[in-house]
Amino acid sequence: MQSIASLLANKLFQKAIIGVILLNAGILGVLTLPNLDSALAKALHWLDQACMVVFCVELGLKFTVLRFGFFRNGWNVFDFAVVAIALAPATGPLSVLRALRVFRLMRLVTAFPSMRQVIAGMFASIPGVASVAGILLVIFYVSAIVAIGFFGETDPENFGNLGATFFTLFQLMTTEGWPTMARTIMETSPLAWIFFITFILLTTFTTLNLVFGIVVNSMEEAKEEAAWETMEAKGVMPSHQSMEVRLAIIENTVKSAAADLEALQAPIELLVNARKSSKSKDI
Amino acid sequence: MLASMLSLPEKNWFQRLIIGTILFNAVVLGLLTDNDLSPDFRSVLVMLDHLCLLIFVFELSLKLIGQRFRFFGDGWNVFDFVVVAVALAPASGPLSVLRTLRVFRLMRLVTVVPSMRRVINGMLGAIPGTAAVGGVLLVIFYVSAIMATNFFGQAEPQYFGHLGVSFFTLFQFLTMEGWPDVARPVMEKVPNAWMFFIPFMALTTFTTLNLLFGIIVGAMEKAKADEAREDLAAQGIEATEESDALRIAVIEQNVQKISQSVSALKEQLQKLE
Repeated sequence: MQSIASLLANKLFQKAIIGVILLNAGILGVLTLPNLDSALAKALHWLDQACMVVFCVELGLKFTVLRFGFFRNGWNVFDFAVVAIALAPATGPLSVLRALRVFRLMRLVTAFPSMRQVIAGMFASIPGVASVAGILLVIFYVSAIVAIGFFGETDPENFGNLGATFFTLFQLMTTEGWPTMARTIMETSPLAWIFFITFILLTTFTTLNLVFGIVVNSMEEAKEEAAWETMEAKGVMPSHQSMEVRLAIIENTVKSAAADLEALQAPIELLVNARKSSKSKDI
Repeated sequence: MLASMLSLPEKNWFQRLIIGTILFNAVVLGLLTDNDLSPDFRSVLVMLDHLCLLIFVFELSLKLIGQRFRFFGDGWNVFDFVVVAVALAPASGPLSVLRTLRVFRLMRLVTVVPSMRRVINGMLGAIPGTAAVGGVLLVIFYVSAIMATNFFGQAEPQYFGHLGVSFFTLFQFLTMEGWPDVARPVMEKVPNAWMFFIPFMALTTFTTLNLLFGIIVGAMEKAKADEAREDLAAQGIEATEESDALRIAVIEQNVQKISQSVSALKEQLQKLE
C-alpha cells in the first residue's frame, strides 16, 4: 500500500503518464488521416489500447490507495469519467461515445499542476459571476419573447419560435451579420432599430462584464494562491480575509495602539519620577 | 390582521413564493409564443398568466399600502410598479405594443434576487463616473453623423441619407459588422472616404471600450467594497467611506505617533537605570 502511494507520488511515474498521454494524442491524431495503411492502422489501434491499459492501471492504483476518497477530488472524477467513456461499448446507441474517447487527451490538463491551477481558478471565479450570467439569461429570455411578439410574423425564419429566436439573438450578441437582418426587418417595422441596438448594447456589455469578471477573479485567485505559498514558506500566517477587511483591521489596531501608548505616557512618567525620588531618598 | 398582512413582503417564504411565481410566469409566457397551441391549452395558459399578474398586483399593493409614498423613493419599487402596470394597460388600440412588453415583468427576477440586484446597482453606480466618457462618445457620434450625412448623403442615401440613417450606419461601424460593404461602395464615388471611416472606427471603438471597462471596473470595485462592508459589519468593525490613499496616510500618521511614543517611553525608562 505504502509502495503504491509512493509510486503514484513519484515524479518519474507522473512524467511517464504525461508521456503516455502525449503518445496517445499522437496516435489518435494519425488515426484521423484518411488513407491510412491498414497494417499501420491496426498497429496504431493496438497502441491506443495499450495506452488505455496504462491509464486504467494508473487509475486502479489510485483507487486502491484512496478508496472512496478517490471520488472526493474533482480531478479524479474527471479522469475516471474520461477513461470510462473509452471503455464503454462502441456500438449501438452508445456509438457516439467512440468519438468522445478523444476526451482522454484532456487528461494532459489534469496531469500538469500549472494547467490545473488555471482551470481551478476559472471554476473558482464562477460563483462570483453567476449573478451576471443570471442577468444575461433573463435579458435573453425576455428579449426572445419580445422579439417573437414583434418580428415573429415578419421574419418567421429568424424569429418564428423560441429556439430559433434564441439562436438569432446569440447571433446578434456576436454582432455577426446583424445590419443585414436589422435592415430587412426595418423595412416592415421601422422602429425595430430600438430593439436591435438596445439588445446589442445590453448583451455585449453584460457579456464583456461576465468575461472580464471571470478573468480578473481567476487572475486574483492565482495571485493569492502564489502569495499563500510564499507566505507559508516564510512562516507568516496567511489570512483568508480580503484586502479591504485587512486594511480596516490594520487601521483600527494601529489607531488603538497609538491611543494606548499615548495614554501610557503620563502614568509611566509618574512611576519613573516616583522611583527616582525613592532612589534619591535611599541615597 | 392587517399589520401581519403588511409585513408579508419581508417574509422569506413570501419572497421565495414571488421568485417562484416569476419563474412560473416565465415558463407560461415562453409557452405562449408557440403558435401551434390548441386553443384550450392557450386559454389555460392565459388564465395562469393572469393569475401570476394577480399575485404580483397583490404583492405590490401590500408594499404600497405598507410604505405609502416612501414606496416610490426606492428605484427598484418604481421599476416593479411600472413593469406590472404595463401588463395592466389595455392591450388594444394604440397601446397594443404594450401587450408584447408585458414580458418585461420577468425582469422582476433581477429585482427580487439580491445578488443580481447588487450587480445592477454596481453598474448603475459606476455610470456617473463614466458619464464624461459617454458624453465624449455622444459628441463624436453626433459630429460624425452630421459630417457623414454631408459628405456621403448624395453618394449613398441608403446609408447616409439623413441624420437618423447615418446614426444607424455609424452604430454599424462601431460594431465593425460588415463595414467594408458600406465603405467600399461609398469610396467608389468618394475615394477619400476612408479618411472618415477609419478614424471614426478607431476613435469610437477605443472610446466605447474605455466606457465599458470604466463601468465594469467601477461596478466590480463597488461590489467588492460592499462585500467588505458586510464582512466588517459581521466582525463589528466600522467601515469608512474614505479613499484607500487617505486611510493609508492616517495609518502612517498613527504608526509615526506609536514610534514617537515608544521612543519617549524608552527614554523615560532609561532614566531609571
